[in-house]
Amino acid sequence: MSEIDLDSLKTRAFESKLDPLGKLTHAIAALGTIWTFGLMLLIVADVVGRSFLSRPITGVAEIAAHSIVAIVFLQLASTVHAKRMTRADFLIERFRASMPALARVLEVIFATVGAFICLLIAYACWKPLVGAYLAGEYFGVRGVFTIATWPFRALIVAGSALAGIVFCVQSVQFLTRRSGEGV
Amino acid sequence: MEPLTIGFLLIGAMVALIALGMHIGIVLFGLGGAGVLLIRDNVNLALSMTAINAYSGIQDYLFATIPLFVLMGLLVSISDVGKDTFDVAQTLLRRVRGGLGMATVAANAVFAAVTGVSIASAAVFTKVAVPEMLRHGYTLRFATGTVAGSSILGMLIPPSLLMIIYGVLAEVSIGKMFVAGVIPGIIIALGFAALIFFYATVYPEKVMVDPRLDVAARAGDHVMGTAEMLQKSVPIAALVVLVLAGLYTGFFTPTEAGGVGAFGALVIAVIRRRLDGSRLWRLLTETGHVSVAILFLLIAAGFYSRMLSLAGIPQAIGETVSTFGFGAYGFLFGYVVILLLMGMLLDSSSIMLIMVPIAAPIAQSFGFDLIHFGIITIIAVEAGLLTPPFGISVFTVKATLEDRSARIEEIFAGSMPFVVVMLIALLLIVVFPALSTILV
Repeated sequence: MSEIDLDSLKTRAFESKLDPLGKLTHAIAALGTIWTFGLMLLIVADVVGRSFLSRPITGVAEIAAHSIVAIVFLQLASTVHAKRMTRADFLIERFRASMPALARVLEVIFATVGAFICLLIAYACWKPLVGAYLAGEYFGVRGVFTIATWPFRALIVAGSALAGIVFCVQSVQFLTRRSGEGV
Repeated sequence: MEPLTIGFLLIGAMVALIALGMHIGIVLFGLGGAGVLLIRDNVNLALSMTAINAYSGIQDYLFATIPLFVLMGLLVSISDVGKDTFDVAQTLLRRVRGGLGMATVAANAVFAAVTGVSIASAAVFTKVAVPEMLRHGYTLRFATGTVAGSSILGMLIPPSLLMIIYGVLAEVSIGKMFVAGVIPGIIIALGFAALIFFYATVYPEKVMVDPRLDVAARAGDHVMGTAEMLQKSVPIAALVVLVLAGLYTGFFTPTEAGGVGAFGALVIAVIRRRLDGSRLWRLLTETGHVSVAILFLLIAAGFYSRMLSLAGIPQAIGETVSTFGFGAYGFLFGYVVILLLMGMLLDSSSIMLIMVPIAAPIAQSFGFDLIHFGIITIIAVEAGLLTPPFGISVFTVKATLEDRSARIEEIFAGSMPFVVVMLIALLLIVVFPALSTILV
């Protein structure tokens, strides 16, 4: 469920329990976390500058829009790793209790499809990345501020590829784990 | 195969896969791609549409509202702002019959104006209001039902995450959605208060275990003076004014309101010393997980909705509905019933992402105002959060409750009257569109 988990705010030092892949995704997600915080400060600075100092910051809207791309793909793998991708778990929870083998088969299939889709996104976005880099594609206003788009496109490729790898690992984990162990 | 047949087969596959528990974003993305591939028989087109959705699909200034409002909601949830609001409402309503129940509704309505998520409200007020009501001799069923019921105000009174999602999907202004939600939100809050008064007057035995407990508890209650009440209400009042007034006057865009609101909530949390470095970090990480899950769903839903229109699904359903002579209100009735049924199984944002791309074009062709239609959608989806077997608000109350003896059925039963009030309000808003559109 894509709902808030307030209990996660209480758990202490949850990073220490993570496997290497978890640590990697967590470190990358941290960049996205800092970015979100920075975005908030940028917007406040723009509002203050605009209202009280009559000095707005140029391009906040464009920067905010592109920031969302970066934030999502920096944190996608970590969200997959934390098993926080939205799903309806009412049926599979019941299978887990009554038919654990079926639940496991489903989990393996779902993680494999997840890996396939994420890697497909990475693959589909590769060509536009190369194109944008070679063409020097940018956003902003020429002469005022311009920012190259290829780093954002690169984040999409890298972020979805990493999410695909996390799904792959989860699929193998579901396959090899004996039933009865926690998920 | 006809594009239309493909489209309907894919919708069937979607329902089955989501029900089995596949990640909803992955389902929508996969079926979007598969649909384009089958309809156009063109691999490159499917790939390039994937790439376009991943980049341009979320590269939108409005999407920045999502992490910002989630952050703001989490910050106010940990700053005891909800408890203060409840305390003030409790003092103000202490002489009214069923006053504590109404205080819960009132505090929820105010808290809703600074948070965009129902679950946050349900968790906060389960901790704050339920023990207080039990101490005053209210029944557990009434206390938990009231908290679960009034928590849905979080999504109805702006700012609301669901309104942002609807605005994006139906391509209507989020600022206008926020404004449109005010009167329906107030109607439902007043309806809840009236419901509580009705119960407390006509069936006092359902509300109170023993009225003498209330009298005894009241004698020991701390009655706040005006100064203390003011002091406790200033932070939340400042936030409400900052965010809502900024939005309504058009001084802030929704994204700016989110940024300024989150910053204001941060200042309150810091002043109250509710935040150290590691807690702030966990809170930001949680913000990331929640918003990425939603944003990824939005990208996927964008792709899926493009595939649906490529297949001509909304048009086909619209024509079918008219040929059978159901008309606009017949369609609306069927739609609301489907939303309520889905609310029994899925969470609210997923329902919106699956249904709005199909339904909004149909609604428009029937001549509904899309803002009016959005408010109807949100109320119906939120009513689903309270209905068994999987009403999430109810489960949050259950999970947050200290008293483990409370049975989930009991909380569902307690929140049922609130669902009835919501459905009555829904009917009113359908019949009188002006209730949602007059301020816009």
